[in-house]
Amino acid sequence: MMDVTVFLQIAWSSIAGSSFYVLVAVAFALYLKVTTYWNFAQAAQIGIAFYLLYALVRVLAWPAWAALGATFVVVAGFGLALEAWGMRVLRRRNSPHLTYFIFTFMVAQFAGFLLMLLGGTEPRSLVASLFMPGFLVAGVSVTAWDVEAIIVTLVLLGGIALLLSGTAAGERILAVSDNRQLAEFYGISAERTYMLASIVCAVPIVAGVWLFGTRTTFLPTTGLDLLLIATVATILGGVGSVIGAGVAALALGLMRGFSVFVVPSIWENALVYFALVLAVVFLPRGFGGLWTSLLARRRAARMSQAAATARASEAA
Amino acid sequence: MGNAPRITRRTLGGLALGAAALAAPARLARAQQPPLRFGVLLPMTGRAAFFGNDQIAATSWALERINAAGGVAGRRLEMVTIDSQADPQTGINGATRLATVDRVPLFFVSWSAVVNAVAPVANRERVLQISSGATAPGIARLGEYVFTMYPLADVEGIAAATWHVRSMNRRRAGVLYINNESGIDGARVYRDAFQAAGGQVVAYEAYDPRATDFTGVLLRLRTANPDILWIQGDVPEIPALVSQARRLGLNQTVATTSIGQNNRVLEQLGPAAEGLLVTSLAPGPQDRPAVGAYIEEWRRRESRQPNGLPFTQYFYDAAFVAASLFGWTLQRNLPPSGENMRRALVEHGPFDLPLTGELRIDVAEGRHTVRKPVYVLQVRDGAFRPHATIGV
Repeated sequence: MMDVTVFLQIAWSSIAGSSFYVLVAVAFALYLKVTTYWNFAQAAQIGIAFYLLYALVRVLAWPAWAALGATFVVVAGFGLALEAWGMRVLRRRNSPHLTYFIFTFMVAQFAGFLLMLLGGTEPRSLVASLFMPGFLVAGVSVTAWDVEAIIVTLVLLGGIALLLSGTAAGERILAVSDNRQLAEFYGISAERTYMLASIVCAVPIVAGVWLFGTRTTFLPTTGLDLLLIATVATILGGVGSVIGAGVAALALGLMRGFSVFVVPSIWENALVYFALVLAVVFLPRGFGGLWTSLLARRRAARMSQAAATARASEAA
Repeated sequence: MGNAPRITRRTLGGLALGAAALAAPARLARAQQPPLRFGVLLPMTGRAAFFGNDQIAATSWALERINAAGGVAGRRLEMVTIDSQADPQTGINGATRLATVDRVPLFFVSWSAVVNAVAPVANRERVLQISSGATAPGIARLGEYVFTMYPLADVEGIAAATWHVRSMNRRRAGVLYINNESGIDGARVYRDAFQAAGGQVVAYEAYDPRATDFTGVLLRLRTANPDILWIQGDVPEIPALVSQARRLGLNQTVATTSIGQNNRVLEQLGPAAEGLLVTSLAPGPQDRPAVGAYIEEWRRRESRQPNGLPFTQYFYDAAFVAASLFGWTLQRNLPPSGENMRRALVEHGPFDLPLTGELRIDVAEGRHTVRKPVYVLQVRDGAFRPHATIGV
């Protein structure tokens, strides 16, 4: 049954449908890269972002741009508050990594229950109707949401890449993530850099929540569900690789989309986690690590070839 | 007759006052007796809480009504609510607490996975467990203390599948089910019944409860070209499933269980909801006027309709079942223990309940079920409208 149109439809829908996973995975991996902590409190930021957007857009009828701006300020503010009164305190106490994990997980759970009390437990969406009429492109059904999701994701990923590689702030983030002590030796404040990273992470989180909420329904527990995928993507992409996490989230989306043609749909989840088990066993540094080691091997091969050529020419 | 003492109004008033004075201590004594308590184990937090909280609200309103009318033989009837999170392990902890700490002789519970998980606790502690919303067919065989007042999936699934084949003349069904206990069991019942009625199940696909994109399974269904699509799913995913199906060109009739009878589904689907068929295991306002008043009460108190109207009707009536069972034991001067509540249920006979009508629980060992008519509703002009009633 897999003809070209079906193949293209699944590929297109999976790519568009992975957009919010990609954005959340990038936020999760970026924070991890800079601070080396698994920040599950981002699930709280996801929940806050959704319910605030819901209140502003659906209840108060704010325009989308204003609601997104206000939500970014609140979510970034929450991230800064968490840094100042949570993570910094743990760092001062030299707490082990497990403490950060437990602390952020508890914050996420607490926020989830709080949002449940404040926002109710019904599934909600950011649009009045989830029905999106599509138009056909070469037999593939495309919706305006698909196009918006792909463009927003590409623009934000490009923006984050530009920030990291082409600005002084990005250099500070990379310096601290590479070697905190050395960066501080050169006068870069690690604490301020962590704050900056929290603000940057709020951008893909808010955008990801907007895309999620305009496509499907959100529950107070959805934040942790999204972060579970982000965690898997971060491991698959290679811990420390922001782009790797984004690519892995996209790959997971494609794998889920196409898996129904390989295994019965009831096995779809098992397949995803089996892939994760394989990755952890055989690719402990993820696809990012595999890519890095491939590049290193290629470089080493080139160098040894150059050395052999030099020895041969010397001998000649 | 001429010598008979004349009973004047004054005499009558005096007699009435005297009787009231004599009865007052007895009433006072009953009122001072501890309340009669039963348990309710439902999700108050988590993914299913929007259903669970509305079911608890329905039970509490029924209790208000019962207690306003004098309670059970003058004693207040109260419920102890415990959050199950629709999670089996949390449910076991909750049931254990109800049985051993709160010491209730009876509790109502829903969600198939939880009903299954807590059944050993009920049987071991000899506490009567009544399922009021779960549908897994295996609930009929969970032990001597476990009963259901809600029809199991075999009632709904068999009635719907048979009706789709025989009355709607559908011959090729595509079945899409949520990958959990309720979905797997319910879909199997529908598939078997559809085939037994002479139809063919051309696609049988599961989906992950956390999925947001269903393109793959929907395209498999589209390729199989069914003439009806049966969704054995849950409320959060149904709008996304149906809207994505329509976008991908699946324009067949879509039918789903009573789970789909939810105004959120209508709101979130918008025009794509038109024509959607849902089954319901409880009568609507057109079948029973009290249901209309009940829906009006929701509008008055909460400014909305309940989530999962039929399920809340059963939980409303659960309080009346509890009242009847406690009343039965008190009438016979039996202590309201779990054993006696079970005995009451077995010997009680049919219940006449305000919102769901007559309830006859089959108490024969190994088939603790109930039979109810199945109502079919269709979305027309943005609302669920009565479409057909399938008899027992």
